[in-house]
Amino acid sequence: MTTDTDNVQFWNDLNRLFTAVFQIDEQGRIVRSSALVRRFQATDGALESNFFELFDFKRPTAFDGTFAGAKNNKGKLFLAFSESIGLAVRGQMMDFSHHGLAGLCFVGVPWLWWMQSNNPDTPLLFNDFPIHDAQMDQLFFMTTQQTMVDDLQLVNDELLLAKNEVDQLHVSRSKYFHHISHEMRTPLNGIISTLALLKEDQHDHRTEELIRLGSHSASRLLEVINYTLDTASLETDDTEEQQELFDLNSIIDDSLALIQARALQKGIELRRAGQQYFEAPYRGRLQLLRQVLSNLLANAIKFTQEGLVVISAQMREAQADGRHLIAFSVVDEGPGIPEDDLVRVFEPFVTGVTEETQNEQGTGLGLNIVKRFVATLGGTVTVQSQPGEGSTFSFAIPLTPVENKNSDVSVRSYESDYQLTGTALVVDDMPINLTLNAQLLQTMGLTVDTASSGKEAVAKVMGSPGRFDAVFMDLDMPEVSGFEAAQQILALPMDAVPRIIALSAHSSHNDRQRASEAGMDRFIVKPFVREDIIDAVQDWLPMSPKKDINRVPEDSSEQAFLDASSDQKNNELDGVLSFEAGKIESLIQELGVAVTKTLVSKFLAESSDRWDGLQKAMATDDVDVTSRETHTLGSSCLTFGLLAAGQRFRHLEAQVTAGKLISPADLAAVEGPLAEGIWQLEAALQKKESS
Amino acid sequence: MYGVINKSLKDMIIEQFGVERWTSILSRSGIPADSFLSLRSYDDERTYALAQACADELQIPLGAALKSFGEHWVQRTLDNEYSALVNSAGAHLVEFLQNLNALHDKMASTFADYQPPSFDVESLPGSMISIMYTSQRQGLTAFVEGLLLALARRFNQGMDIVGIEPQKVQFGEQTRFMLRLH
Repeated sequence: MTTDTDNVQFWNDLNRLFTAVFQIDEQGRIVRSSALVRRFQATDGALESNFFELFDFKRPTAFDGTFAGAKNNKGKLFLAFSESIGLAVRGQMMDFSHHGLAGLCFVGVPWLWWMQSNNPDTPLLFNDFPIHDAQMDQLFFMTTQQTMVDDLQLVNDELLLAKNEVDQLHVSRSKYFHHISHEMRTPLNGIISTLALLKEDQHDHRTEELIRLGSHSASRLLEVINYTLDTASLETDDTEEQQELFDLNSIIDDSLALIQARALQKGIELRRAGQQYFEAPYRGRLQLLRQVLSNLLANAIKFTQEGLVVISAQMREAQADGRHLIAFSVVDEGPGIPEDDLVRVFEPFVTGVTEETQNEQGTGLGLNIVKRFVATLGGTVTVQSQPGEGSTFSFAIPLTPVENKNSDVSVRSYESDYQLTGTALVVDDMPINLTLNAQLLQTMGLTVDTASSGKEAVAKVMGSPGRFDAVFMDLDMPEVSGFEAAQQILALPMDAVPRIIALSAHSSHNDRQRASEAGMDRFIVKPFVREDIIDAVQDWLPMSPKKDINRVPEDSSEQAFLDASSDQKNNELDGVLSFEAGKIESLIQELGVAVTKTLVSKFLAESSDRWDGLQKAMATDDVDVTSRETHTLGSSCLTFGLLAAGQRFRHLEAQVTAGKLISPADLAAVEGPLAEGIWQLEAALQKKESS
Repeated sequence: MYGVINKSLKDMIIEQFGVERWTSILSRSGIPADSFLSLRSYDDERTYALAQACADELQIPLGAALKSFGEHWVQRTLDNEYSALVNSAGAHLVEFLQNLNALHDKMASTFADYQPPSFDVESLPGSMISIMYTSQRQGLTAFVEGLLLALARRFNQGMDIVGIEPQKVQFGEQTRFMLRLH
């Protein structure tokens, strides 16, 4: 529609609704313009310019810059700018006649974004925009949005700073608690030892009661301190260093052995369920897993008055990352937990004290440690329970399997290419272990001397100052224990004190801590392998390439040996293998067939003697000898892979420790597994030798 | 009030008296945190509490504190963070004041719960200007006084406030400011 522009009122209306208005004739000349436009036109004397020459057009995209083109794009948005007069406009074209001649009118507003970017020195005023135009609103909105972003960034920075401060504070506090706990534990151990010595003397009833109270309180305090130290250790960053290679079967069996005495004392049956045997060793945070299993078992024993406590472990799945998800559970036949308490059992200092357990009241930290450790291991512990129906604590954690034996061997062969240089003293009261360990260290290049007691060890070190670079010290020895012997050696007035490496069949946190406090450098769990020694001494004992690798070649006979062990796996007794070929295989790899055969012969002869000695001791009710022989026999059996017999001896040892007599029937129950294990051991050796 | 007001008040105290003084004021006010977001609407009581705490801490009358704040609001906040808008509102003081209501109207289209004051400007003989300030809030006349003084300086306009006349209203606050330009 063409509008007659002779109507002044209409022109005025346009100028009221729009601030950038151009009347354009057919030649493109600007006939009239609005006040805002004239303000800019005046700066360049361009009052009568040609509209299409004065402006460049960014939109419409297909516009050719002519009057006809503009007429054809009346419905489109025009974005036009003029560098010469410093003005940009946005709007659209409309037909507009003038004195009967057809023309166009551009109606629009300043193009704010172009103006701000290209002509910031000529600010547009508020009134340069019509009320309905939203560009100023957009400007305001964007300005405030940016302010908001800045505010949020500031808040974020403040929060980050505060978090860092809290983290720092937390670390400082943890270090402080850790330090204080260490400082407290040493004198506390002194108190506990003193009270234990006092207990041995005769006292009146009141004094005995006070000593008992003191011991109980000191033990609980020690538990709290250990909890503090354990939780603090979780916060350390050196998780890689805490990864250890371990045999999951042994870990579970050790956990059972540790609690066996307590179970026997209460008449509770304690066993491992399921038949799953974990073939591959795993790598992970062994100490945490040990503590979790021990705590769960201890908890189950504590709250069960009679019946059964069962631990089980099963591989649930092989994950995409190669790790195995292992599910553990500990089931008890205790009183169960009321539903209201289920959510609280893992909170610290929550104790489920009942009438039956009030004498065993603990600190309520055991399950909290379980929860925290399991979380650190990558799982979540849960509990299912109903009053009167017992409880089941379960968790599943991913563990990294060490791929297969061949790859394990390849690692060893690399390390076997190196020999150690130095002189070592091996200390163990068990002849088999002493010979075994000495042989192993000799094959690694060390000059080895032996001592069969802590006392002898101290004498040998004292007698030859500077002779020994390292002492491999068994901890569990009669008379002078490994801890005491280490302390005495380190206290000798010598310039060159040897480094002491603790050897222990068990690996409790407490033993490790005690070994560390006694001044021992490292802690190795028996039976150990070459890598354990290398790990322990490589930082300070010289290593050199080995000239002659004295080891059994990895040939087909080795595979045949492995096949034999696989056959034997099916031959299980009461859920535990009679014989685990892996142990003897390791010995052969480390020491060679001949030496291993000698050791086995020695073991068989000694076992026979000790078996006789055990029977005599039982007949004469000699508790000390009974305890000692069961301990030695159990340890030796486990060393040579006689799992079932070894565990049964451990069970007997725990029974004796708990003050219960061993019956002939108990002993008879070991005879079968022992004979079976020996038979398989000899068969395996024979097979190996003949191949 | 929007957080930008509280934030500006905090900035003023920190700039003039330091962080410790602000921490003390914040504690005195009972406000739990001072991480104000500019575009978040906060309870007016929070702003009043902060202003009163400033006056108490600095041991000056509340009016003096609000007047200083009004000046700071123009100099530091409007002229820095919102300069494009301030520049667009007028080339000189009177034009700016005349456009304020329209500017507030536009802001109200962006922020639904925005409750701006109004400024009705009337030119009087003898270079006198009458500004009728009307607000739903009470107690901010001194803030407006500081604001007018800072605006005059910003536009290089010689100006005296020759009269501040509170008006009787049923709720909120209304004050006539008589300005002499020179």
